[in-house]
Amino acid sequence: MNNMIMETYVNNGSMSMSLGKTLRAYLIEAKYAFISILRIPVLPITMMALPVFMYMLLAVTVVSRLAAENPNVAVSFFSGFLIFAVIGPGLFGFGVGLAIERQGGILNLKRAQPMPPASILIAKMITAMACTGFTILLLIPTAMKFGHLHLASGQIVNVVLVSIFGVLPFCSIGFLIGTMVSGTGAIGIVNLIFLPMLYLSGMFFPLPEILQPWARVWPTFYMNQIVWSAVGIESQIDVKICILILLGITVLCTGLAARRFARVG
Amino acid sequence: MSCKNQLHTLDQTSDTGEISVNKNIINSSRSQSQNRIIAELAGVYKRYGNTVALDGIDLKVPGGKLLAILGPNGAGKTTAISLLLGLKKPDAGKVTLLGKSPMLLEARRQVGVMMQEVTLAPEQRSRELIDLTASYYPNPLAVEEVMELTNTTPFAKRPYGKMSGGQKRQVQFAMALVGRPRLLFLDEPTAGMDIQAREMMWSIMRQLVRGGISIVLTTHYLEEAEALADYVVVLAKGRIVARGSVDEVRTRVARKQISCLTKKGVDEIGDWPGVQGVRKENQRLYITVIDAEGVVRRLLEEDKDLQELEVSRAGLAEAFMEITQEITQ
Repeated sequence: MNNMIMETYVNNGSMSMSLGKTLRAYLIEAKYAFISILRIPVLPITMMALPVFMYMLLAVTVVSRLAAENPNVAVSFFSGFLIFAVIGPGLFGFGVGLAIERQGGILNLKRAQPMPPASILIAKMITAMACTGFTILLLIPTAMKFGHLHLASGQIVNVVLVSIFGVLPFCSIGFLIGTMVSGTGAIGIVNLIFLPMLYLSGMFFPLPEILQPWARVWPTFYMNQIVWSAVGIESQIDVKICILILLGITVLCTGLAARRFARVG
Repeated sequence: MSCKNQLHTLDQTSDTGEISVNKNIINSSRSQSQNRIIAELAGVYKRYGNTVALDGIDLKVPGGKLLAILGPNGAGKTTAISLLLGLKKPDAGKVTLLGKSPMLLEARRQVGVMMQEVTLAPEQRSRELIDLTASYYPNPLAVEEVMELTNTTPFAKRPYGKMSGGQKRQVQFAMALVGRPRLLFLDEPTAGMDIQAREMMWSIMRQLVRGGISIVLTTHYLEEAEALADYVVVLAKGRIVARGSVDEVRTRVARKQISCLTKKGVDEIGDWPGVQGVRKENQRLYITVIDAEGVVRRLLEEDKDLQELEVSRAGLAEAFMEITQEITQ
Protein backbone atom coordinates (compact mmCIF):
# COMPACT_ATOMS: atom_id res chain seq x y z
CA MET A 1 0.00 0.00 0.00
CA ASN A 2 3.09 2.19 0.10
CA ASN A 3 2.59 3.70 -3.31
CA MET A 4 -1.13 3.99 -3.05
CA ILE A 5 -2.70 7.33 -3.83
CA MET A 6 -5.96 7.84 -2.01
CA GLU A 7 -8.69 10.26 -2.87
CA THR A 8 -10.67 12.05 -0.27
CA TYR A 9 -14.34 11.43 -0.06
CA VAL A 10 -15.31 14.88 1.09
CA ASN A 11 -18.21 15.83 -1.09
CA ASN A 12 -19.28 19.41 -1.06
CA GLY A 13 -20.75 19.40 -4.55
CA SER A 14 -24.39 19.78 -5.45
CA MET A 15 -26.54 16.72 -4.97
CA SER A 16 -28.68 17.46 -7.99
CA MET A 17 -27.84 15.80 -11.28
CA SER A 18 -27.53 17.93 -14.38
CA LEU A 19 -29.50 16.86 -17.44
CA GLY A 20 -26.26 15.78 -19.10
CA LYS A 21 -25.24 13.57 -16.19
CA THR A 22 -28.72 12.06 -15.96
CA LEU A 23 -28.67 11.32 -19.68
CA ARG A 24 -25.23 9.78 -19.29
CA ALA A 25 -26.55 7.50 -16.51
CA TYR A 26 -29.30 6.29 -18.85
CA LEU A 27 -26.82 5.70 -21.68
CA ILE A 28 -24.40 3.77 -19.47
CA GLU A 29 -27.23 1.61 -18.15
CA ALA A 30 -28.30 0.84 -21.73
CA LYS A 31 -24.69 0.21 -22.78
CA TYR A 32 -24.14 -2.41 -20.10
CA ALA A 33 -27.53 -4.00 -20.77
CA PHE A 34 -26.41 -4.48 -24.40
CA ILE A 35 -23.00 -5.78 -23.33
CA SER A 36 -24.67 -8.31 -21.04
CA ILE A 37 -26.74 -9.60 -23.92
CA LEU A 38 -23.70 -9.94 -26.14
CA ARG A 39 -21.85 -11.85 -23.42
CA ILE A 40 -24.65 -14.31 -22.75
CA PRO A 41 -26.04 -14.68 -26.24
CA VAL A 42 -27.92 -17.96 -25.67
CA LEU A 43 -31.23 -16.41 -24.66
CA PRO A 44 -31.34 -13.61 -27.25
CA ILE A 45 -30.17 -15.93 -30.01
CA THR A 46 -32.88 -18.40 -29.07
CA MET A 47 -35.45 -15.62 -28.93
CA MET A 48 -34.33 -14.20 -32.26
CA ALA A 49 -33.59 -17.40 -34.16
CA LEU A 50 -36.62 -19.43 -33.12
CA PRO A 51 -39.29 -17.41 -34.99
CA VAL A 52 -37.16 -17.23 -38.13
CA PHE A 53 -36.27 -20.93 -38.00
CA MET A 54 -39.86 -22.04 -37.41
CA TYR A 55 -41.10 -19.72 -40.11
CA MET A 56 -38.66 -21.24 -42.59
CA LEU A 57 -39.83 -24.74 -41.76
CA LEU A 58 -43.46 -23.82 -42.32
CA ALA A 59 -42.73 -21.60 -45.31
CA VAL A 60 -41.05 -24.41 -47.20
CA THR A 61 -43.55 -27.08 -46.26
CA VAL A 62 -46.96 -25.46 -45.85
CA VAL A 63 -47.06 -21.74 -46.60
CA SER A 64 -45.78 -21.94 -50.15
CA ARG A 65 -48.55 -24.39 -51.07
CA LEU A 66 -51.34 -22.52 -49.29
CA ALA A 67 -50.17 -19.11 -50.46
CA ALA A 68 -50.55 -20.21 -54.06
CA GLU A 69 -54.29 -20.70 -53.37
CA ASN A 70 -54.80 -17.65 -51.12
CA PRO A 71 -52.25 -14.78 -51.07
CA ASN A 72 -53.50 -13.65 -47.65
CA VAL A 73 -52.11 -16.84 -46.16
CA ALA A 74 -48.59 -15.54 -46.81
CA VAL A 75 -49.37 -12.34 -44.93
CA SER A 76 -51.14 -14.21 -42.17
CA PHE A 77 -48.22 -16.52 -41.46
CA PHE A 78 -45.71 -13.70 -41.75
CA SER A 79 -47.70 -11.56 -39.33
CA GLY A 80 -48.03 -14.45 -36.86
CA PHE A 81 -44.31 -15.13 -36.78
CA LEU A 82 -43.51 -11.45 -36.68
CA ILE A 83 -45.61 -11.11 -33.53
CA PHE A 84 -43.98 -14.26 -32.18
CA ALA A 85 -40.66 -12.42 -32.63
CA VAL A 86 -42.05 -9.31 -30.93
CA ILE A 87 -43.42 -11.07 -27.85
CA GLY A 88 -40.24 -13.02 -26.98
CA PRO A 89 -37.92 -10.12 -26.07
CA GLY A 90 -40.77 -8.33 -24.26
CA LEU A 91 -41.98 -11.18 -22.08
CA PHE A 92 -38.93 -13.40 -21.75
CA GLY A 93 -36.07 -10.93 -22.21
CA PHE A 94 -37.61 -8.11 -20.25
CA GLY A 95 -40.04 -9.77 -17.84
CA VAL A 96 -38.12 -12.89 -16.89
CA GLY A 97 -34.81 -11.00 -16.93
CA LEU A 98 -36.21 -8.41 -14.55
CA ALA A 99 -37.66 -11.05 -12.24
CA ILE A 100 -34.29 -12.83 -12.07
CA GLU A 101 -32.52 -9.57 -11.24
CA ARG A 102 -35.12 -8.79 -8.62
CA GLN A 103 -34.69 -12.21 -7.06
CA GLY A 104 -30.91 -11.66 -6.92
CA GLY A 105 -31.37 -8.38 -5.05
CA ILE A 106 -29.91 -6.21 -7.83
CA LEU A 107 -33.01 -4.07 -8.10
CA ASN A 108 -33.07 -3.53 -4.35
CA LEU A 109 -29.45 -2.41 -4.46
CA LYS A 110 -30.17 -0.06 -7.35
CA ARG A 111 -33.15 1.37 -5.48
CA ALA A 112 -30.90 2.03 -2.50
CA GLN A 113 -28.32 3.57 -4.78
CA PRO A 114 -29.49 6.73 -6.46
CA MET A 115 -30.21 5.07 -9.80
CA PRO A 116 -32.41 7.31 -11.97
CA PRO A 117 -35.81 5.72 -11.44
CA ALA A 118 -36.54 4.53 -14.96
CA SER A 119 -33.04 3.91 -16.26
CA ILE A 120 -32.96 0.13 -15.89
CA LEU A 121 -36.42 -0.15 -17.41
CA ILE A 122 -35.60 2.06 -20.36
CA ALA A 123 -32.32 0.18 -20.88
CA LYS A 124 -34.17 -3.11 -20.99
CA MET A 125 -36.87 -1.71 -23.28
CA ILE A 126 -34.28 -0.42 -25.73
CA THR A 127 -32.52 -3.78 -25.66
CA ALA A 128 -35.78 -5.62 -26.31
CA MET A 129 -36.58 -3.24 -29.18
CA ALA A 130 -33.14 -3.80 -30.69
CA CYS A 131 -33.47 -7.60 -30.44
CA THR A 132 -36.85 -7.42 -32.15
CA GLY A 133 -35.57 -5.11 -34.86
CA PHE A 134 -32.73 -7.50 -35.62
CA THR A 135 -35.11 -10.48 -35.80
CA ILE A 136 -37.49 -8.66 -38.11
CA LEU A 137 -34.65 -7.74 -40.43
CA LEU A 138 -33.95 -11.47 -40.72
CA LEU A 139 -37.60 -12.47 -40.99
CA ILE A 140 -38.61 -10.06 -43.77
CA PRO A 141 -36.09 -11.28 -46.40
CA THR A 142 -36.78 -14.88 -45.34
CA ALA A 143 -40.52 -14.36 -45.88
CA MET A 144 -39.97 -12.60 -49.19
CA LYS A 145 -37.65 -15.37 -50.40
CA PHE A 146 -39.48 -18.48 -49.17
CA GLY A 147 -42.92 -17.37 -48.02
CA HIS A 148 -44.41 -15.74 -51.12
CA LEU A 149 -44.55 -12.41 -49.31
CA HIS A 150 -44.41 -9.32 -51.48
CA LEU A 151 -43.70 -6.03 -49.73
CA ALA A 152 -42.91 -2.64 -51.20
CA SER A 153 -40.08 -0.71 -49.56
CA GLY A 154 -42.57 1.59 -47.78
CA GLN A 155 -44.37 -1.42 -46.37
CA ILE A 156 -41.07 -2.86 -45.12
CA VAL A 157 -40.41 0.37 -43.24
CA ASN A 158 -43.94 0.26 -41.77
CA VAL A 159 -43.50 -3.34 -40.66
CA VAL A 160 -40.13 -2.66 -39.03
CA LEU A 161 -41.49 0.37 -37.15
CA VAL A 162 -44.63 -1.47 -36.05
CA SER A 163 -42.51 -4.37 -34.79
CA ILE A 164 -40.03 -2.26 -32.87
CA PHE A 165 -42.67 -0.16 -31.13
CA GLY A 166 -44.94 -3.19 -30.83
CA VAL A 167 -42.50 -4.60 -28.26
CA LEU A 168 -43.51 -1.98 -25.72
CA PRO A 169 -46.89 -3.40 -24.60
CA PHE A 170 -45.29 -6.81 -24.16
CA CYS A 171 -42.40 -5.24 -22.22
CA SER A 172 -44.95 -3.62 -19.93
CA ILE A 173 -46.71 -6.97 -19.37
CA GLY A 174 -43.27 -8.50 -18.72
CA PHE A 175 -42.48 -5.65 -16.32
CA LEU A 176 -45.66 -6.33 -14.36
CA ILE A 177 -44.92 -10.07 -14.16
CA GLY A 178 -41.28 -9.35 -13.28
CA THR A 179 -42.26 -7.21 -10.31
CA MET A 180 -44.77 -9.73 -8.99
CA VAL A 181 -43.10 -13.13 -9.09
CA SER A 182 -39.65 -14.62 -8.57
CA GLY A 183 -37.25 -15.37 -11.41
CA THR A 184 -38.13 -19.05 -11.54
CA GLY A 185 -41.84 -18.33 -11.17
CA ALA A 186 -41.70 -15.77 -13.97
CA ILE A 187 -40.58 -18.38 -16.53
CA GLY A 188 -43.66 -20.46 -15.76
CA ILE A 189 -46.06 -17.53 -15.76
CA VAL A 190 -44.71 -16.15 -19.02
CA ASN A 191 -45.03 -19.54 -20.70
CA LEU A 192 -48.55 -19.78 -19.36
CA ILE A 193 -49.63 -16.62 -21.17
CA PHE A 194 -47.20 -16.75 -24.10
CA LEU A 195 -48.70 -19.73 -25.92
CA PRO A 196 -52.39 -18.79 -25.45
CA MET A 197 -51.50 -15.28 -26.56
CA LEU A 198 -50.11 -16.68 -29.80
CA TYR A 199 -52.74 -19.22 -30.63
CA LEU A 200 -55.97 -17.96 -29.06
CA SER A 201 -55.75 -14.60 -30.78
CA GLY A 202 -56.38 -16.35 -34.09
CA MET A 203 -53.17 -15.26 -35.76
CA PHE A 204 -52.10 -18.60 -37.12
CA PHE A 205 -55.26 -20.61 -37.52
CA PRO A 206 -58.95 -19.74 -37.77
CA LEU A 207 -60.49 -20.14 -34.34
CA PRO A 208 -63.65 -22.15 -33.63
CA GLU A 209 -66.70 -19.91 -33.60
CA ILE A 210 -67.05 -20.14 -29.83
CA LEU A 211 -63.52 -18.81 -29.28
CA GLN A 212 -63.60 -16.05 -31.88
CA PRO A 213 -65.03 -13.28 -29.62
CA TRP A 214 -62.40 -14.12 -26.99
CA ALA A 215 -59.56 -13.48 -29.43
CA ARG A 216 -59.99 -9.79 -28.67
CA VAL A 217 -58.95 -10.38 -25.08
CA TRP A 218 -55.34 -10.79 -26.20
CA PRO A 219 -53.07 -7.86 -27.10
CA THR A 220 -51.64 -9.98 -29.92
CA PHE A 221 -54.99 -9.72 -31.69
CA TYR A 222 -54.64 -5.93 -31.95
CA MET A 223 -50.99 -6.19 -32.88
CA ASN A 224 -51.98 -8.55 -35.69
CA GLN A 225 -54.48 -6.02 -36.99
CA ILE A 226 -51.81 -3.32 -37.04
CA VAL A 227 -49.36 -5.55 -38.94
CA TRP A 228 -52.04 -6.37 -41.52
CA SER A 229 -52.70 -2.71 -41.99
CA ALA A 230 -48.97 -2.02 -42.30
CA VAL A 231 -48.69 -4.44 -45.23
CA GLY A 232 -51.73 -2.91 -46.93
CA ILE A 233 -54.50 -5.34 -46.00
CA GLU A 234 -57.68 -4.00 -44.49
CA SER A 235 -57.91 -4.73 -40.75
CA GLN A 236 -61.05 -5.89 -38.94
CA ILE A 237 -60.86 -3.00 -36.47
CA ASP A 238 -59.78 0.58 -37.04
CA VAL A 239 -55.99 0.63 -36.56
CA LYS A 240 -56.22 3.76 -34.42
CA ILE A 241 -58.38 1.86 -31.94
CA CYS A 242 -55.86 -1.01 -31.95
CA ILE A 243 -53.03 1.43 -31.24
CA LEU A 244 -55.02 3.04 -28.44
CA ILE A 245 -55.78 -0.33 -26.87
CA LEU A 246 -52.11 -1.38 -26.96
CA LEU A 247 -51.12 2.02 -25.62
CA GLY A 248 -53.66 1.60 -22.82
CA ILE A 249 -52.23 -1.83 -21.94
CA THR A 250 -48.73 -0.34 -21.90
CA VAL A 251 -49.70 2.54 -19.64
CA LEU A 252 -51.79 0.37 -17.31
CA CYS A 253 -49.23 -2.42 -16.88
CA THR A 254 -46.29 -0.01 -16.59
CA GLY A 255 -48.17 2.09 -14.05
CA LEU A 256 -49.12 -0.92 -11.90
CA ALA A 257 -45.62 -2.36 -12.14
CA ALA A 258 -43.91 0.96 -11.37
CA ARG A 259 -46.14 1.42 -8.33
CA ARG A 260 -45.29 -2.04 -7.06
CA PHE A 261 -41.61 -1.59 -7.89
CA ALA A 262 -41.47 1.65 -5.89
CA ARG A 263 -43.29 0.15 -2.90
CA VAL A 264 -41.95 -3.37 -2.74
CA GLY A 265 -38.94 -3.44 -5.02
CA MET B 1 -16.85 23.15 -6.74
CA SER B 2 -15.79 21.02 -9.65
CA CYS B 3 -15.29 17.34 -9.27
CA LYS B 4 -11.60 17.67 -10.06
CA ASN B 5 -11.10 20.32 -7.44
CA GLN B 6 -12.51 18.03 -4.81
CA LEU B 7 -9.97 15.36 -5.50
CA HIS B 8 -7.03 15.63 -3.22
CA THR B 9 -4.03 13.45 -3.43
CA LEU B 10 -3.39 12.18 0.02
CA ASP B 11 -0.29 11.39 1.90
CA GLN B 12 1.12 7.97 1.46
CA THR B 13 0.96 5.22 4.01
CA SER B 14 1.75 6.43 7.48
CA ASP B 15 4.14 4.90 10.00
CA THR B 16 1.30 2.96 11.54
CA GLY B 17 0.61 1.28 8.24
CA GLU B 18 -2.64 3.09 7.68
CA ILE B 19 -3.46 5.19 4.68
CA SER B 20 -3.25 8.79 5.79
CA VAL B 21 -5.60 11.50 4.70
CA ASN B 22 -4.84 15.13 4.08
CA LYS B 23 -5.36 16.79 7.47
CA ASN B 24 -6.97 19.95 6.14
CA ILE B 25 -9.60 17.94 4.42
CA ILE B 26 -10.28 15.82 7.47
CA ASN B 27 -10.75 18.92 9.56
CA SER B 28 -13.07 20.62 7.12
CA SER B 29 -15.17 17.52 6.82
CA ARG B 30 -15.18 16.89 10.54
CA SER B 31 -16.42 20.33 11.32
CA GLN B 32 -19.26 19.79 8.91
CA SER B 33 -20.36 16.41 10.09
CA GLN B 34 -19.54 15.99 13.74
CA ASN B 35 -22.10 16.78 16.40
CA ARG B 36 -24.74 16.24 13.79
CA ILE B 37 -27.34 13.53 13.42
CA ILE B 38 -26.98 12.37 9.87
CA ALA B 39 -29.82 9.84 9.75
CA GLU B 40 -32.58 8.96 12.16
CA LEU B 41 -35.39 6.57 12.93
CA ALA B 42 -37.79 8.32 15.31
CA GLY B 43 -40.45 6.20 17.00
CA VAL B 44 -40.51 3.77 14.11
CA TYR B 45 -42.79 0.76 13.99
CA LYS B 46 -42.74 -1.84 11.26
CA ARG B 47 -44.71 -5.09 11.02
CA TYR B 48 -44.75 -7.92 8.51
CA GLY B 49 -48.14 -9.53 8.98
CA ASN B 50 -48.26 -10.58 12.62
CA THR B 51 -44.51 -10.27 13.10
CA VAL B 52 -43.23 -7.11 14.71
CA ALA B 53 -39.96 -6.21 13.00
CA LEU B 54 -39.38 -2.88 14.73
CA ASP B 55 -41.22 -1.94 17.88
CA GLY B 56 -41.06 1.83 18.18
CA ILE B 57 -37.32 2.35 17.99
CA ASP B 58 -35.38 5.59 18.11
CA LEU B 59 -32.05 5.33 16.34
CA LYS B 60 -29.72 8.19 15.58
CA VAL B 61 -26.74 7.90 13.25
CA PRO B 62 -24.11 10.41 14.43
CA GLY B 63 -22.08 12.36 11.90
CA GLY B 64 -18.45 11.35 11.44
CA LYS B 65 -18.77 8.19 13.54
CA LEU B 66 -19.01 4.50 12.92
CA LEU B 67 -22.20 3.04 14.32
CA ALA B 68 -22.40 -0.75 14.53
CA ILE B 69 -25.87 -2.26 14.60
CA LEU B 70 -25.72 -5.70 16.19
CA GLY B 71 -28.33 -8.28 16.93
CA PRO B 72 -29.22 -11.90 16.38
CA ASN B 73 -30.96 -13.01 13.18
CA GLY B 74 -34.48 -11.60 13.03
CA ALA B 75 -33.69 -8.78 15.47
CA GLY B 76 -34.73 -6.09 12.98
CA LYS B 77 -31.32 -4.96 11.67
CA THR B 78 -32.16 -5.40 8.00
CA THR B 79 -35.52 -3.69 8.44
CA ALA B 80 -33.88 -0.73 10.16
CA ILE B 81 -31.35 -0.37 7.33
CA SER B 82 -34.06 -0.81 4.68
CA LEU B 83 -36.06 2.01 6.25
CA LEU B 84 -33.03 4.29 6.40
CA LEU B 85 -32.35 3.59 2.73
CA GLY B 86 -35.94 4.24 1.69
CA LEU B 87 -36.47 0.66 0.57
CA LYS B 88 -39.39 0.30 2.95
CA LYS B 89 -41.85 2.68 4.58
CA PRO B 90 -42.51 2.61 8.32
CA ASP B 91 -45.97 1.79 9.61
CA ALA B 92 -45.53 4.64 12.08
CA GLY B 93 -42.76 7.04 13.00
CA LYS B 94 -40.40 9.19 11.00
CA VAL B 95 -37.31 8.36 8.98
CA THR B 96 -34.82 10.99 7.88
CA LEU B 97 -31.67 10.59 5.84
CA LEU B 98 -29.34 13.58 5.67
CA GLY B 99 -32.21 15.81 6.67
CA LYS B 100 -34.54 14.56 3.97
CA SER B 101 -36.87 11.69 3.28
CA PRO B 102 -34.84 8.65 2.23
CA MET B 103 -37.28 8.24 -0.65
CA LEU B 104 -35.71 11.30 -2.29
CA LEU B 105 -32.89 10.73 -4.75
CA GLU B 106 -31.12 13.82 -3.44
CA ALA B 107 -30.75 12.16 -0.05
CA ARG B 108 -29.58 8.84 -1.47
CA ARG B 109 -27.02 10.57 -3.69
CA GLN B 110 -25.04 11.15 -0.50
CA VAL B 111 -25.13 7.51 0.49
CA GLY B 112 -23.03 4.50 -0.47
CA VAL B 113 -24.43 1.03 0.02
CA MET B 114 -22.95 -2.42 0.36
CA MET B 115 -25.59 -5.10 0.76
CA GLN B 116 -24.94 -8.64 1.80
CA GLU B 117 -27.45 -10.60 -0.19
CA VAL B 118 -26.96 -9.32 -3.70
CA THR B 119 -26.17 -11.42 -6.73
CA LEU B 120 -24.77 -9.00 -9.25
CA ALA B 121 -24.77 -9.82 -12.96
CA PRO B 122 -22.18 -12.61 -13.31
CA GLU B 123 -21.19 -11.56 -16.83
CA GLN B 124 -20.35 -7.98 -15.89
CA ARG B 125 -16.77 -7.08 -15.08
CA SER B 126 -15.83 -5.36 -11.87
CA ARG B 127 -14.78 -2.16 -13.60
CA GLU B 128 -18.10 -2.00 -15.41
CA LEU B 129 -20.08 -2.50 -12.22
CA ILE B 130 -18.20 0.34 -10.54
CA ASP B 131 -18.52 2.55 -13.62
CA LEU B 132 -22.28 1.97 -13.75
CA THR B 133 -22.65 2.80 -10.05
CA ALA B 134 -20.54 5.95 -10.51
CA SER B 135 -22.96 7.17 -13.18
CA TYR B 136 -25.73 7.43 -10.56
CA TYR B 137 -23.85 10.08 -8.56
CA PRO B 138 -23.33 13.77 -9.33
CA ASN B 139 -19.68 13.96 -8.22
CA PRO B 140 -18.21 10.47 -8.33
CA LEU B 141 -14.59 9.52 -7.91
CA ALA B 142 -12.71 8.31 -10.95
CA VAL B 143 -13.27 4.59 -11.36
CA GLU B 144 -9.54 3.83 -11.59
CA GLU B 145 -8.86 5.71 -8.35
CA VAL B 146 -11.44 3.83 -6.35
CA MET B 147 -10.26 0.53 -7.82
CA GLU B 148 -6.72 1.29 -6.80
CA LEU B 149 -7.83 2.25 -3.32
CA THR B 150 -9.85 -0.92 -2.81
CA ASN B 151 -7.27 -3.20 -4.44
CA THR B 152 -9.70 -4.24 -7.15
CA THR B 153 -7.50 -3.15 -10.07
CA PRO B 154 -5.98 -6.65 -10.49
CA PHE B 155 -9.38 -8.09 -11.32
CA ALA B 156 -10.84 -5.09 -13.15
CA LYS B 157 -11.65 -7.18 -16.22
CA ARG B 158 -12.73 -10.33 -14.45
CA PRO B 159 -16.42 -11.24 -14.74
CA TYR B 160 -18.15 -10.90 -11.40
CA GLY B 161 -19.33 -14.50 -11.52
CA LYS B 162 -15.74 -15.75 -11.65
CA MET B 163 -14.51 -13.91 -8.58
CA SER B 164 -14.03 -15.34 -5.11
CA GLY B 165 -16.39 -14.31 -2.32
CA GLY B 166 -13.81 -11.92 -0.89
CA GLN B 167 -13.13 -10.29 -4.27
CA LYS B 168 -16.86 -9.78 -4.77
CA ARG B 169 -17.05 -7.99 -1.41
CA GLN B 170 -14.11 -5.77 -2.45
CA VAL B 171 -15.90 -4.84 -5.68
CA GLN B 172 -19.08 -4.07 -3.75
CA PHE B 173 -17.04 -1.94 -1.37
CA ALA B 174 -15.64 -0.03 -4.33
CA MET B 175 -19.19 0.44 -5.64
CA ALA B 176 -20.22 1.83 -2.25
CA LEU B 177 -17.32 4.30 -2.21
CA VAL B 178 -17.31 5.50 -5.81
CA GLY B 179 -20.12 8.02 -5.32
CA ARG B 180 -18.08 9.89 -2.70
CA PRO B 181 -20.77 9.31 -0.07
CA ARG B 182 -21.20 11.14 3.20
CA LEU B 183 -22.83 8.12 4.76
CA LEU B 184 -21.92 4.50 4.10
CA PHE B 185 -24.14 1.53 4.86
CA LEU B 186 -22.02 -1.60 5.07
CA ASP B 187 -23.82 -4.88 5.61
CA GLU B 188 -21.40 -7.67 6.57
CA PRO B 189 -18.65 -5.99 4.55
CA THR B 190 -15.83 -8.41 5.32
CA ALA B 191 -17.72 -11.71 5.08
CA GLY B 192 -15.60 -14.19 3.12
CA MET B 193 -12.55 -11.93 2.96
CA ASP B 194 -9.01 -13.02 3.69
CA ILE B 195 -7.13 -11.29 6.51
CA GLN B 196 -5.18 -8.97 4.23
CA ALA B 197 -8.27 -7.73 2.39
CA ARG B 198 -10.12 -7.32 5.68
CA GLU B 199 -7.31 -5.25 7.15
CA MET B 200 -7.30 -3.09 4.03
CA MET B 201 -11.02 -2.50 4.34
CA TRP B 202 -10.79 -1.75 8.05
CA SER B 203 -8.00 0.73 7.39
CA ILE B 204 -10.06 2.55 4.78
CA MET B 205 -13.09 2.59 7.05
CA ARG B 206 -11.06 4.10 9.90
CA GLN B 207 -9.66 6.76 7.61
CA LEU B 208 -13.07 7.61 6.21
CA VAL B 209 -14.45 8.08 9.71
CA ARG B 210 -11.48 10.25 10.65
CA GLY B 211 -12.24 12.25 7.54
CA GLY B 212 -15.78 12.92 8.75
CA ILE B 213 -17.64 10.23 6.85
CA SER B 214 -20.35 8.38 8.78
CA ILE B 215 -20.62 4.61 8.59
CA VAL B 216 -23.42 2.30 9.62
CA LEU B 217 -22.05 -1.20 9.96
CA THR B 218 -23.95 -4.41 10.48
CA THR B 219 -21.80 -7.41 11.18
CA HIS B 220 -21.81 -10.82 12.77
CA TYR B 221 -18.08 -10.49 13.47
CA LEU B 222 -18.21 -8.88 16.88
CA GLU B 223 -14.47 -8.36 16.90
CA GLU B 224 -15.03 -6.19 13.82
CA ALA B 225 -17.50 -4.00 15.69
CA GLU B 226 -15.19 -3.96 18.71
CA ALA B 227 -12.26 -2.86 16.57
CA LEU B 228 -14.05 -0.20 14.55
CA ALA B 229 -17.19 1.10 16.19
CA ASP B 230 -17.54 4.41 17.99
CA TYR B 231 -21.06 3.49 18.99
CA VAL B 232 -22.91 0.22 19.21
CA VAL B 233 -26.63 -0.42 19.10
CA VAL B 234 -27.86 -3.88 20.01
CA LEU B 235 -31.24 -4.89 18.62
CA ALA B 236 -33.33 -7.80 19.78
CA LYS B 237 -36.93 -8.58 18.89
CA GLY B 238 -37.32 -5.23 17.18
CA ARG B 239 -36.17 -3.17 20.16
CA ILE B 240 -32.94 -1.47 21.08
CA VAL B 241 -31.71 -3.35 24.14
CA ALA B 242 -28.34 -1.66 24.53
CA ARG B 243 -26.62 1.36 23.10
CA GLY B 244 -23.50 3.37 23.74
CA SER B 245 -19.79 3.11 23.11
CA VAL B 246 -18.22 -0.33 22.98
CA ASP B 247 -16.90 0.18 26.51
CA GLU B 248 -20.29 1.28 27.79
CA VAL B 249 -21.98 -1.78 26.34
CA ARG B 250 -19.29 -4.06 27.72
CA THR B 251 -19.58 -2.63 31.21
CA ARG B 252 -23.26 -3.47 31.26
CA VAL B 253 -22.22 -7.04 31.59
CA ALA B 254 -21.07 -8.51 34.88
CA ARG B 255 -19.09 -11.30 33.22
CA LYS B 256 -15.34 -11.38 33.27
CA GLN B 257 -12.84 -13.69 31.72
CA ILE B 258 -10.02 -15.43 33.57
CA SER B 259 -7.21 -17.04 31.64
CA CYS B 260 -4.29 -19.01 33.08
CA LEU B 261 -2.05 -22.04 32.79
CA THR B 262 -3.30 -24.58 35.32
CA LYS B 263 -3.34 -28.27 35.98
CA LYS B 264 -7.03 -28.15 36.83
CA GLY B 265 -9.34 -29.73 34.27
CA VAL B 266 -12.01 -28.09 32.16
CA ASP B 267 -14.79 -30.27 33.55
CA GLU B 268 -13.80 -29.72 37.16
CA ILE B 269 -13.71 -25.94 36.91
CA GLY B 270 -16.90 -25.95 34.90
CA ASP B 271 -18.74 -27.25 37.98
CA TRP B 272 -17.55 -24.45 40.27
CA PRO B 273 -20.09 -21.86 41.40
CA GLY B 274 -19.92 -18.60 39.45
CA VAL B 275 -18.35 -20.24 36.38
CA GLN B 276 -20.36 -19.88 33.21
CA GLY B 277 -18.05 -21.50 30.70
CA VAL B 278 -14.59 -22.99 30.30
CA ARG B 279 -12.55 -23.76 27.22
CA LYS B 280 -8.96 -24.78 26.63
CA GLU B 281 -6.78 -23.41 23.88
CA ASN B 282 -3.07 -24.26 23.57
CA GLN B 283 -2.79 -25.44 27.19
CA ARG B 284 -4.41 -22.23 28.36
CA LEU B 285 -7.76 -22.22 30.11
CA TYR B 286 -10.29 -19.48 29.44
CA ILE B 287 -12.94 -19.25 32.12
CA THR B 288 -15.98 -17.02 31.81
CA VAL B 289 -17.18 -16.05 35.26
CA ILE B 290 -19.59 -13.83 37.13
CA ASP B 291 -17.69 -13.89 40.44
CA ALA B 292 -14.11 -13.33 39.26
CA GLU B 293 -12.63 -12.74 42.70
CA GLY B 294 -14.06 -15.94 44.20
CA VAL B 295 -12.93 -18.09 41.28
CA VAL B 296 -9.41 -16.58 41.30
CA ARG B 297 -9.12 -17.19 45.02
CA ARG B 298 -10.10 -20.82 44.63
CA LEU B 299 -7.78 -21.31 41.65
CA LEU B 300 -4.81 -20.00 43.63
CA GLU B 301 -5.71 -22.15 46.63
CA GLU B 302 -6.13 -25.36 44.67
CA ASP B 303 -3.26 -25.00 42.21
CA LYS B 304 -0.03 -23.74 43.73
CA ASP B 305 1.69 -24.00 40.31
CA LEU B 306 -0.81 -21.80 38.54
CA GLN B 307 0.86 -19.43 36.05
CA GLU B 308 0.13 -16.45 33.81
CA LEU B 309 -3.10 -15.50 35.50
CA GLU B 310 -5.06 -12.78 33.71
CA VAL B 311 -8.48 -11.33 34.46
CA SER B 312 -10.20 -9.23 31.85
CA ARG B 313 -13.56 -7.62 31.44
CA ALA B 314 -16.01 -9.30 29.10
CA GLY B 315 -15.54 -8.54 25.42
CA LEU B 316 -18.27 -7.25 23.18
CA ALA B 317 -19.04 -10.80 22.14
CA GLU B 318 -19.78 -11.86 25.72
CA ALA B 319 -21.77 -8.70 26.33
CA PHE B 320 -23.76 -9.25 23.17
CA MET B 321 -24.51 -12.84 24.13
CA GLU B 322 -25.65 -11.90 27.61
CA ILE B 323 -27.77 -8.95 26.57
CA THR B 324 -29.55 -10.76 23.75
CA GLN B 325 -30.04 -13.90 25.86
CA GLU B 326 -31.76 -11.84 28.54
CA ILE B 327 -34.19 -10.52 25.97
CA THR B 328 -34.91 -13.75 24.14
CA GLN B 329 -35.36 -15.85 27.30
